[in-house]
Parts: sequence; C-alpha cells; structure tokens
Amino acid sequence: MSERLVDVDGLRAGYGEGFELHVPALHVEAGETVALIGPSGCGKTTLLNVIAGIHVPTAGHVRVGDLELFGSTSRAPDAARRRFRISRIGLVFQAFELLDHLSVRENILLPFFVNTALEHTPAVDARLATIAERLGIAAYLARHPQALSQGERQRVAIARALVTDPALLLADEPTGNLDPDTGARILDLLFDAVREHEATLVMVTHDHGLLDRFDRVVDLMAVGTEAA
Amino acid sequence: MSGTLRLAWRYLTWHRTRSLILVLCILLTLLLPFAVTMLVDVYGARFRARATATPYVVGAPGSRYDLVLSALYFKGQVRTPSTMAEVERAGRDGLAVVVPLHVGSRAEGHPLVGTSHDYVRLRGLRTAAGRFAQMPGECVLGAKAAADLDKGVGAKVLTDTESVYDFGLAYPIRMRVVGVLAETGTADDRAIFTDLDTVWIMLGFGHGHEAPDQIDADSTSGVKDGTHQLNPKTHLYTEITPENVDSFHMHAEPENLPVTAMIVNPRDGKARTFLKGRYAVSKTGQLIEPVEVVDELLEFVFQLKAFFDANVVLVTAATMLFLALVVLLSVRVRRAEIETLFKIGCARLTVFRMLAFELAIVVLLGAVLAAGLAWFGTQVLLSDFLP
Repeated sequence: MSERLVDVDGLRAGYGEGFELHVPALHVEAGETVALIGPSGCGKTTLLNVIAGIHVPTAGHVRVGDLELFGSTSRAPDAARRRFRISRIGLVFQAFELLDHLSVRENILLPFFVNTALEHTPAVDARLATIAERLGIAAYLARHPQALSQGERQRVAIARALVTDPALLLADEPTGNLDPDTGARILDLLFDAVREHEATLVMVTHDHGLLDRFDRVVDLMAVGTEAA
Repeated sequence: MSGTLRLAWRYLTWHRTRSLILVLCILLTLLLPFAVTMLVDVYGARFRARATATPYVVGAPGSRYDLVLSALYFKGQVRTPSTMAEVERAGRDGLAVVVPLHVGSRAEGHPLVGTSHDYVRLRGLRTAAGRFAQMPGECVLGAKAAADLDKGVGAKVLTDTESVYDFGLAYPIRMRVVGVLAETGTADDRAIFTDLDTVWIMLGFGHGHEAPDQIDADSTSGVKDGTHQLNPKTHLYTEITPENVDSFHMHAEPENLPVTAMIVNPRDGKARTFLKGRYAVSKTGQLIEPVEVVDELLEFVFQLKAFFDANVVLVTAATMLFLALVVLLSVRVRRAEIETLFKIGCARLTVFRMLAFELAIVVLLGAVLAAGLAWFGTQVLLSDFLP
C-alpha cells in the first residue's frame, strides 16, 4: 500500500482581494501522477506554489511528506520550507526559467549553488550525467541555454528538477511553450523520469489530450474554487 | 569556489561589456587618488631623506626655499649668490666641514654642480667607472646623466651657454669626463659634478691667457681689421687641458668668487650651537636646517592634498551611487531570474550575497587595476624624480 505524499485540507489561498482559491481536500499518493486542470485563473499555479511552500495560504492544512508546511495554527519557518523544497521537490516551469549566463551543466546544478542544504558530491555529478544522457542533452552540457531549442531547454529544466532526486515533481504547464510533437516527446521523457525515480508528479496542464497518461485528473473548478 | 560566488562570477563574465564598463568606472575613479597618494608618499619620503642627510645649508639672505631646493635637489636658482668669504666665515675656528656649492648652470641639459671633494665625502659618493675630478676642466657624471647622455669616461661634455649671443661672456667649457658615479637614487644621479674653478671660468670670472689676435684661422675668434670677431668655422667653447691649465686664472678677488650655497656639517653639538649663534645675528648669511624647510613644503603639499582628498570622497560617493543605481536596475532586469532562484529554494539573503559578490568583484577588480596602474605610473614618474 502506497503512502500519502501530499495532504491538502481546507485550503484557502489568494492574492489580495480579487481572488481566492478554495480546496476542501486534495490528497496525492506517493508515485502517483496527477493532472491539475481548470480554466485560466482558477488557481492551478497558486495550488502548486502552496504545495511547494512558496505561497502562504490564508487558511488550511498542507503537509508534504513528513513536513507540515502549513498547519491550522502554525507553519514551518521559511528557511525550513526552502530547505525542504530544494531537497525534496523538483519544479518545472512553463517558461523553463533557465539562467542564460550559466552553462547547461551549471543550470542543472543550480539548486546546489544556492542552498547549503544540498551538497555537491561526485554522486551528484554521476546522477547529472545519467539524467542528461536519458534526456538526450549530454552533448549540450557545456553550452548556454540560448544555443538550445525550446525542447532542449525544457529538457534541461526537467534535468534541473530531477538532479536533487526529489520525491515530488511539480510541473506548471511544462509543454505550454512547445509545439505538439516536441511537447509529446518532453512529456514522454518526464513520465519516464518520474517512473524511473519513483517520484510523484503533480502537473498543471491545459492539454486535455494528455490526461489519459495520468493516474488521476483533478479539476480544480470541480474541487471548489471560489471567486471572492 | 562557493556556489554564490560562482553565480556572481558567471554573471559578470557573461555580461562582459557591462562588467568592463563598471570596472573602468571604479578604475578611473580610484586611479588618480591612488597615484597621487603613492606619489606624495614616495616623493615626501625621498625629499625628507635627502634633507635629513644634510645637516645645515648656509647661503645669502633670501628665500629659504630657493636655497634648500637649489643646494639639495639642484632645482631652481638662488637669486642672490653668496661668496667664498662666507664659506671662510662658516668654517672659521674649525667649527664645521663646509662644502661650497655652485648650482644653477647646466651642461648638456643636466644640472652642473661646482663643488669640492668634501661633497663626495658628505654624500658618500663613489665612482662606478673612472675617478673623481682632480683639475679644472674635468667632470664626473651622475649615473642617470651618463645614461641619458650616453657618455662615459673619456667623453666630452659642453656646458650650456646661457646667452649664446652675448659675446662679452666667456665661452662654454668643454669638460672631460673622468668618472661616472654609482647610482644613488638621489638628485646626484642627474647632475654633472666639476670643481668650482671650472664653473667660475665658465661664468667669466677667470680665463686662460691666449691673446685673441694670436689665434689662427682654426681658432674660435681673433682680431680682424682692428675689431674682435668670431670665426664662424670654429666651435664656441673653451677647453681646459693639462697643457693650458696653468694659463687660467681668476679675475676676481678669491673671497668675492660666487657660490650659491654651502652645506655645513658641524663638528659636534657645541659647534652646532656656536654656528647657530653666529648666524642668528649674521647679516651676510643664513643658516638653515633643511629638514625644517622640507617639512614646511611637505605640509603645504599635504594641505593641498587634503582638498584633493575631499574631492575624491565626493567623486567616490558619486560613483558608488551610480553603482547602486546599476545594481537596483539590475535587480529589476533580473527579476525573473531572482524569482526562479527563490522558487527553487534560494534565500533572499543568498540573492543579496550574490549581488554583493558581483559588486565586490567589480570594485575589487577596479581597485586592484587602479592600484597596479597607479603603481606603474608612479614608478615611471619616480624614475625621473631624484631628490
């Protein structure tokens, strides 16, 4: 029986007075692949940010793994959430968010440069080499992102998310900026990587043609988003 | 290299032009202050060292600064020369070793110093080649002077004519180089040393007894048609040789022959007190402690430098504000990058540290380059400055 990795209960989160996300309950099992769908502005990215410990909710309880990010009366300190995020969660963004002034290799190792919670060891380099090989970017490690195609850049972003060997992968429309063929290939790679690393995937997507590939689809509108 | 430092360095090297401009800003802001500080420090130290090594200077009443600058550094001219009578007075009763100096003339562009052998002893000079001058018409070149003129022992050096068309004056002297001094790192290196007789002959206080009308067509001048005329084919100089030296003599009383200054080295503390007393009431000379005058000059320099330093503070502040503006704009431009760093788990302090490293590297590089260039420039300038 798989254990529960993400627990969200009675969540309320918003930005100012114009919007409030309300998720009564959302639970994700370890190793599960979950698609978050819903119209633009319904709070999919906000939910990802809450689960990542980036966005502080106004109410509710959020637990990821063994860390209670946000409790009903308390929340984990910012430093603890950052340490947890960088070591246990991999993030993949729609716009890739690579740094042009770093090489592909350095972009992948970026988490190790910015937080001392991670230690850059030879094992990390070996894992990087394996991931880069699997994602087909091993030949580009010395290049800079602007010398790569959109698809290659997203592969680098996935490699960056995987290099810390995270338990949870949060992907925010990772194929949104890619053509359908490239998007499909990237998704194949992402699913392969998730399976191989026995990670859990929560992915925001607008592409309903992809939903069959997920273990579960969560429609945020059906779960209960409220407009304030 | 720490991760944050690596990120900072990569950003700077990736945006080379921007980084270079910032480094140049720092370099240009700091170059002049660094150079001036180094120059003032080294100049001051060298100036003072020369003054400290010179016990007293005696000269005719007048500007103390002119007297010291002339006697110690062979710079400028003393308006009212002293005389050999004052040299006698200073050394009377054996109170001190008195080194007469005549400074102000030049030979082939270099200061020509007429003095005695006591100067060699006082300054501890030694020859790198040849020997010291022993008779009129001989000279010894300072190390830099020899290098500049590319001349050594056996060469000839012509004294500079102060008024080439004033034929009432004596001709320049063509001196034989009999020695080259070892380098001292002082004004002595640029000077050419000869004896006082040679200088006095050059100045017209003495001459050799060759009748102009006996000079043949190859000589400098002669009497033609009852008038004294120059021979345009000849060189306009006088040369004192072992053969003709005996024919040279002074046309002035020995005590009236000019010196511009004298360095006075008292025999002991008691002699120093006597000398000070003697010159406290003297109307014909003044006794100066060079280090006091040099300290006064340096104080004036340091006062000027204080104004300069204040200006430097303002310019540096303006540059720092400019850099702060660049950093603030940079944070705006890099908002997406910084947001990404936050999202993946980077602390705000780490981002601040990364930006601080970038700024520190730029400032450090600019400062190091400025210091290096200032040092190089100072060395070049100092090679021409020999107090």
